[in-house]
Amino acid sequence: MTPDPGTPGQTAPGQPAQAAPALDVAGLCVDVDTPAGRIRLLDDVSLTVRPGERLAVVGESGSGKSVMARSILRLGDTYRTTGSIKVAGTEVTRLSERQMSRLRGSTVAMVFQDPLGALNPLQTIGEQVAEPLRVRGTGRQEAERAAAAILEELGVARAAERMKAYPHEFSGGMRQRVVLAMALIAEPQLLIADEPTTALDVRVQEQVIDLLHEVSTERNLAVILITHDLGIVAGFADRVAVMYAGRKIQDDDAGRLFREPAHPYARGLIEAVPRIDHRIEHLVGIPGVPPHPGARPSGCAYHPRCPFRMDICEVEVPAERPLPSGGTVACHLFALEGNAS
Amino acid sequence: MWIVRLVSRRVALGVITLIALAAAVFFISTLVPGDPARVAAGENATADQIAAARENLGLDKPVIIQFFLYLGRLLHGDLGMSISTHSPVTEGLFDALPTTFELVLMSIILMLVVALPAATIAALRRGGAGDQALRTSAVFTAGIPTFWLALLVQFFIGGKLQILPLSGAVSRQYSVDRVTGFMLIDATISGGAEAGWDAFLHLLMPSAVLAVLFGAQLFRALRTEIIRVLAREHIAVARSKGVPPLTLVMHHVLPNSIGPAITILGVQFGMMVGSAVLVESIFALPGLGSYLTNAVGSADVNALLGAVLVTGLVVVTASLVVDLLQAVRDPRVRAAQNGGGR
Ligand SMILES: Nc1ncnc2c1ncn2[C@@H]1O[C@H](COP(=O)(O)OP(=O)(O)O)[C@@H](O)[C@H]1O
Ligand SMILES: [Mg+2]
Repeated sequence: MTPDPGTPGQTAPGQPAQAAPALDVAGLCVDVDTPAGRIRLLDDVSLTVRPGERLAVVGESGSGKSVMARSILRLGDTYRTTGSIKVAGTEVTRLSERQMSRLRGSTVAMVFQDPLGALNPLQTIGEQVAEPLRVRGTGRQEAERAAAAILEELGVARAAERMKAYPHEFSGGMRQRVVLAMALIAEPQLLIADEPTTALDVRVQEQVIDLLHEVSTERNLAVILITHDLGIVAGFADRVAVMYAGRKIQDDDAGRLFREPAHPYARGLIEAVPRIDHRIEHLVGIPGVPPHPGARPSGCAYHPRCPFRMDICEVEVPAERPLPSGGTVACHLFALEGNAS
Repeated sequence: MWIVRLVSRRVALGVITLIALAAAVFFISTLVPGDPARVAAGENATADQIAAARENLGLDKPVIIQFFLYLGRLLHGDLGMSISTHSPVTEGLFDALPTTFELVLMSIILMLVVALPAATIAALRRGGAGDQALRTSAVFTAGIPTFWLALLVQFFIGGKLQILPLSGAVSRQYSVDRVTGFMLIDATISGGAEAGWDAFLHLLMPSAVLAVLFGAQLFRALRTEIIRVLAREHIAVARSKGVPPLTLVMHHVLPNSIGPAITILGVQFGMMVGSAVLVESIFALPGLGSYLTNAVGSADVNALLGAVLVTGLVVVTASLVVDLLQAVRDPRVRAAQNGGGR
């Protein structure tokens, strides 16, 4: 399949074909009912991703990154979702399950963390890569040709032959290429990669991130890279969103975020990144642990760990405010400094 | 080739199992009170006639020699003469087995037809009203004694309501010639579709009884495994690829969930043949059950040994079939048979 950056693979009737953001999330809240009562996993998250843009979503584990990814594809069956999620202009919260499965794969696709767990152990690689086309009615031979082509493009040598192999016969890095091929074969406009490299060793991690960057550029594919590892973000992302305790607390151009992180939590995260030029002892972490969604602190959820905490932080949830740099931040410090609009 | 390794390994194991089984049953049977020679010679036999029968049957030789003689004959497919029917045991078993297989296979089909969709629905809607109802009935049915359920069903459905025939393999009006020994097939050959349907109706109640008894365990195993598989990441991945719900269940969920069910069915197969003995006698089906009952009643050692050995053979074969099915289903099992790798 040749990349075709100009026109989207398919356009829903009545939707603008051009200029619609690849993703437009507004006021997204996700709750789940647990035996201990209803808890809020995502709280008032808004996020926009332009076509072809690479956004990294970072935050400690448990901050709600995967919940956000799953709720965009509507994979969380127990989620109670409010707010708006528009994927390439289509409001997915209002789609029927059938319409939703047609959208999955062809408009928005996903890559998961564990490349072995992501593959059906009983089906051949070829069957699985061809499947997004097969379920859309493409003939077997044509789908298999397309599968071989995209595997080859993603660096699986002798693809036509190895399509007959099963997942357990592939190495971790190769499996992640297969998973990526499955996600890309139906030519989506948005790819969500949820910690795609966490389960891989360091050398392979780099290869996969480079590959993601490459397909994103070649196909004008918008990518959301979810990670708790800031080390892989710098070379990859145009923009970074920082999540904490189910909220987005900062959203900024990648370069600026690394140079001058506004939110104290973002600052802590960046200082916690191990650098080659830093000795390990100098690594500054953030003391404390992120709160459980069922027991979030009042006001700004970060306040118990924040070195700059003020009285207001304990009572009032900070609103998102624009930064002079063009990003946004949700922190009372910036209201005081007069950045409020 | 994985299939050659698997089959040869399992057949060797099976032969050892069967010899051990033959030995166990044979030596136990020599301890059973009752004189086979007296039984064989008939009720009014003289002492000479009994002695002749004893020599004839090899019963005058030491027990260990009797056993090796028996094993030697086994190799030729000779299970000896039944001392009650005066016909070869092999012949008697050959007549009886198809009826039992028909009953057990029909039960398994009924079990699968009910348990697979029921377990899928229960797992997909777990915690819901349907799931609760199905689970409760599964707990309930698993506790019922075989004969009790068989009699109850026969009394109400066959007797009171007269929905299904009370007992027997086929109605008297159809004269069925034995071709395959499987009543459904033979009745259809002899009397056409109408007779075949009649035989099917006769088979329905006894096989449903067996299915109810064994289906609950299958249902629970399937439900548990489907729930486990639904939580796996590759299911979420398949959904994220745009696989619609029905395809998801058929291509991804069920193939990954039926492993434990296949193993359970393999174990149940032998147990079902055992339970079929009881069900056959209640529903007057001429299967292995009635053959075994006769053999025990008349101290017919050869017939008893033959029937038990054949049951053992069925169990061994069932476990081979299970291993084959698992290997066909799962490429990792095939790889393990090949000693890993390709
Ligand atoms: N279905 C669910 N029910 C209850 N809690 C959940 C559910 N899914 C996720 N959570 C909780 O929500 C929080 C955020 O989870 P997640 O999005 O997976 O974090 P991460 O940022 O590491 O991807 C975690 O504390 C997790 O335990
Ligand atoms: Mg996660």
